[in-house]
Amino acid sequence: MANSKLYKGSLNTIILKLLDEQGKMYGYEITQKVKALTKGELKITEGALYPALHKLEAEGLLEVEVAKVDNRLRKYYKLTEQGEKETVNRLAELEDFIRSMQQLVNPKWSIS
Amino acid sequence: MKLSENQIEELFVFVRKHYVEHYDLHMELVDHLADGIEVQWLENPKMSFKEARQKEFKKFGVCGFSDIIEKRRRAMEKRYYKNIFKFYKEYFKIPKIVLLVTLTLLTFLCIRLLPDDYKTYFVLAGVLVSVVVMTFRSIKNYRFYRKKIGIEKRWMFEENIYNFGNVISIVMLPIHIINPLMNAQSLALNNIYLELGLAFFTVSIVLLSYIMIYVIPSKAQELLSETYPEYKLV
Repeated sequence: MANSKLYKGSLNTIILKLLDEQGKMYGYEITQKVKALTKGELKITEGALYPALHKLEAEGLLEVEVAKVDNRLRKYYKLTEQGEKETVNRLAELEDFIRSMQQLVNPKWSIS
Repeated sequence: MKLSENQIEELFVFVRKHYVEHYDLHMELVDHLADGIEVQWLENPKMSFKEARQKEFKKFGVCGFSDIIEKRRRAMEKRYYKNIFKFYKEYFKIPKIVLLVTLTLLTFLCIRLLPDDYKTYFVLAGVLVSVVVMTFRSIKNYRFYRKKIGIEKRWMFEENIYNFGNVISIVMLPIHIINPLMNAQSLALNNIYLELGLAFFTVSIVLLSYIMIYVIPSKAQELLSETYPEYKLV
């Protein structure tokens, strides 16, 4: 997607939704998963992903787990209990937003 | 193809050269770069390590790691403030609430008994003592912390614990609030509710300082393990 500004406000929700589905993920995996799911249309930049992950962690929505993989340590993120509840709320908000945008972009005129 | 131990070590040097000073970020960024390089080698096994590393680094944009560092710092400060608040909240539960109420009432009595002209000085003194102790402690802590640089791993949250999350500027804020009061002291300070409020405010400032200066540093290891699951692993 050429205009990354369009999804910036939804980045946190995208991360929460992915973690809700996948259980636990690490940074690189998230970027690749989004790329694969959107067939390369949407690319989460590294410069945006980590600040978002760290912010969600500071808010108590994510917790981290560390495991040794190959010859290095890997940091996995997963939802906290509070994060699971927040995912439901934020997804509902995003769906409302998408519906409103659809109405704005493609209004269905009706004669009442 | 997987990265060797030496190449991982080179990646640590690489991120350090790009102004990433804290281990909590080193680990994550090294793993990210390593993953990217390994994927590149799958597509193009002949690509050199340095070329693949450069290609991955470019994905972080023109600012490199600086935006990530800045936002991480803010996230860690937020975590620190949350911890202060967590310890402060304990003073509103039994048994510590007894101490909070007793101290507030004693301070209130002092304010009540003092002549009007000296009331604000009393509050100001409480705040100033906290700020002065905190400033001296932070200088001492900083010296202690500097000795670690280059020898031990640095953690962003640990830095917040020892420099009080750069909170000294915030602690100075009450002085700005009290200043106008100094000028209008006789006007409002006969009010019993205001005096009670000032007593609670003074006790809270002293308590918050106590939490930052003594309570949190004494629990540093515990809090660091809680913040970083990797703390005990490295």
